[in-house]
Amino acid sequence: MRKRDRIMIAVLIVACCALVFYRAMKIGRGEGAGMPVRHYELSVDMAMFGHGGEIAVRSYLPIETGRQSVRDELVSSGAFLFSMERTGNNRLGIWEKQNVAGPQSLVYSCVVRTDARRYELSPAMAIPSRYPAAVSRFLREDDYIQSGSTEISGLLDTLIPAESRGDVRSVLQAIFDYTHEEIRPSKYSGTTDALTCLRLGESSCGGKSRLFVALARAAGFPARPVGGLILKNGTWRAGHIWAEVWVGGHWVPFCPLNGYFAEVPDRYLITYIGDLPQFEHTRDINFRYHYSAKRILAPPDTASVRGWAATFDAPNLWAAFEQVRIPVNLLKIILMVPFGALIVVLCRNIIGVETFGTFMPALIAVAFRDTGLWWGAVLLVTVIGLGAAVRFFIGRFQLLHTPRLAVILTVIVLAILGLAMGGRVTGLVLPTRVSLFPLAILALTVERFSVMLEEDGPYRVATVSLGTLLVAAAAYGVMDWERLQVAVLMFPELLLLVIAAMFVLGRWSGMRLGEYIRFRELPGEGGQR
Amino acid sequence: MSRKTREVLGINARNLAVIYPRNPRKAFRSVDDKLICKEILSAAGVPVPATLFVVHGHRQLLALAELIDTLPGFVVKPARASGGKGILVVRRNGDGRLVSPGSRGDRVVTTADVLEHIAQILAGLVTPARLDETVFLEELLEPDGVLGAMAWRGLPDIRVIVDRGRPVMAMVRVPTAASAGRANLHQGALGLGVDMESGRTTLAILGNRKLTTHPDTGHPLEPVTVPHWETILAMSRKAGASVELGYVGVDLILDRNRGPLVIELNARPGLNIQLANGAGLRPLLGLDQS
Repeated sequence: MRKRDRIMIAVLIVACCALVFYRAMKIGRGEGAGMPVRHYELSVDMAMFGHGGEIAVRSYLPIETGRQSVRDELVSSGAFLFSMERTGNNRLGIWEKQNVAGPQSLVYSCVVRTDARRYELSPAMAIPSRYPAAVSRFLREDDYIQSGSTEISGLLDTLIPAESRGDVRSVLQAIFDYTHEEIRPSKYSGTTDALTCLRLGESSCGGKSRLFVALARAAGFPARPVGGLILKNGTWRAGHIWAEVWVGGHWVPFCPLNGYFAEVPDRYLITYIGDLPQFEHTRDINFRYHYSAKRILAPPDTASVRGWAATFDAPNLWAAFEQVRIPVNLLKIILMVPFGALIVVLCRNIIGVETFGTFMPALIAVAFRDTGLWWGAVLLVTVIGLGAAVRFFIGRFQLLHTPRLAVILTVIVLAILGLAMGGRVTGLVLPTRVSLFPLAILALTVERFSVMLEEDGPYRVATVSLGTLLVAAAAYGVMDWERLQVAVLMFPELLLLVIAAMFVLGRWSGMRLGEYIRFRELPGEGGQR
Repeated sequence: MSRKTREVLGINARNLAVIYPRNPRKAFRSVDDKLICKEILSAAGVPVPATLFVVHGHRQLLALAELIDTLPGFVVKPARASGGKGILVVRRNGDGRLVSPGSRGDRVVTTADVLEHIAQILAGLVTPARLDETVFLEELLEPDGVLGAMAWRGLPDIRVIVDRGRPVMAMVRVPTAASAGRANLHQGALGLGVDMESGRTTLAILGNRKLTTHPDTGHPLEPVTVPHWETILAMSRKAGASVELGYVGVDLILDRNRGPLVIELNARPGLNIQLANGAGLRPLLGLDQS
């Protein structure tokens, strides 16, 4: 490396460090609003078919607790009347409509933030004998939580004899271990009551949690099931039920299905407290629903930066960008693109992977952001396969290049819309925002794919396609890395380091990994190979 | 890693240590366009194949159609494509019909097919970045006896690497069925290393495997002496000197009647020539071992 390269690299690194240091100091002095935090954009899609009568749909909505908050709620109810019924902390959304005919759909969406919680149960804590009235009702027996049954109390005695029930921790541990380890998990989606769960020795989350609650109540703890969702990037249908026990003035969470003892991971979102159905609806309306969520970074709920001078000097630049209508999530994509490019450079110049187009993999990775990696890859392969087939077919019409490219583009548009629709029809739910898949990029990829197939044959096309997909996946992995995202949102000047890295790579004249393999053994050396 | 492998030139080093310092950017123009390149070579007294027709736009296609009917054979070439892309070889068979060699043997083509092929190139199929691609027809050369006997179909050619006026490495490239008559190694052509002193071929490789017989014809690939070797070296030097490139790949064809002709120059010659010769380029270019 020459002297001027070294100076350039040193300047970039020093500039980056100085900026980060200066701004970190300011943030340290409390002048900035905190770091962007993980939120989920959640939506609940419901669909039904009316036969001319009345339709009512009820669904519990995410609630506010000490560890979860809800914002930007949006109810799209179409012609339905929407109302909300509050019972304690629970919020029941109700959609109603007379004389409904034909297919209908309802959407509820919001942005939620959930934190992980973990409680330390002191071994010295004894089980109290009296509880406040508001809590003691959670000691009573329910239809599905038969805590008064002799089978339950008998089980409790075998798990932990009455004389050993001295402290809170050992009792709950015994109950938890039994429901977590001895009851086999099952995929059954109907309601399983505590006794049935005990008799079958297997159940899904609901039965395990009811049995846990029944045992806890039998042991003298106020306990209740809670229902909700396990948030993730993607689309799913299953809800989740876990349990809470009143210990030391707190509702302490337990999940006997997934093995969380006195703790709840950050992806658990509560939609209702108690043993309630998530959905209730009029019969015979072919009711269907699914959840979809997307992980996003958003500012915490703090005051934004005010005034031009403050904006310019803001330690939290992303908040300043929000004020010029560049939302954090767009900013995040923009700031992560150079990292995608860095991965492409590494893959091409150090490893020697061949790809369609130079930065095509990085752009494809941006598209994967909307669909997730697996669906993105499936869509990419499907659409390119279809596009290549169409291109092969219209080849006989001998269209000129640009119009032909436009035909491929149009077919891709139709294919993507068709895939999204087809998903609805077959009940297979495709990720939202499929339509944002970059159409022009796909059309160009199809064209290069087809030309290469013609010119260089299937082997090379397969190699290059695989290379493109792998590099895109690697770029996606890095661009989706939340810690890096937070770091770059806080300190966009870290991109100077990316430039420095490009200078290093740009003057690197070593052999590529692929070349080592290709020239591993020169023919003629040591005779026949 | 063996000493020989350390002498291999990789693509990063080729660009950073050879092409950037030795090949000024503005000189690329003179070789990236085959027509300009041929003009420069002719002016320097280097023999090149005759250009039969130059197509700049669609309106010339009608006139070209009339010309095609009078030709015994020709090669369609995009002026700016690399790696053999868009090249179409057409000859007349015994019945007087136009045929083009493909991987499954000769394929009958019509004048309309040829014009369609040209229209595609003009529209940017082969060189999407260029909106002003030019296509030309070149005379169809006849392979020389010695090298022609080795080829499956199509024309073998000779690649000579000239570094700062000195031919340093060479290979003969022999088309196969897999390469569809084209002489590009990455399209499946055979590469034969050549001893620079004697002009005798040494190894034969396909991909990075060593071969003893031609995969399609079964013709034994025993060492042969490339005819006109001294002329080839002299022409390569002259061709290299005619452009301002310190490092250049000179591609020649041995025509049965006209002898060696330079078909094109390449400012970024590939690295597979090292495989064909079983030797690395680094010491020959005055670079340290990696």
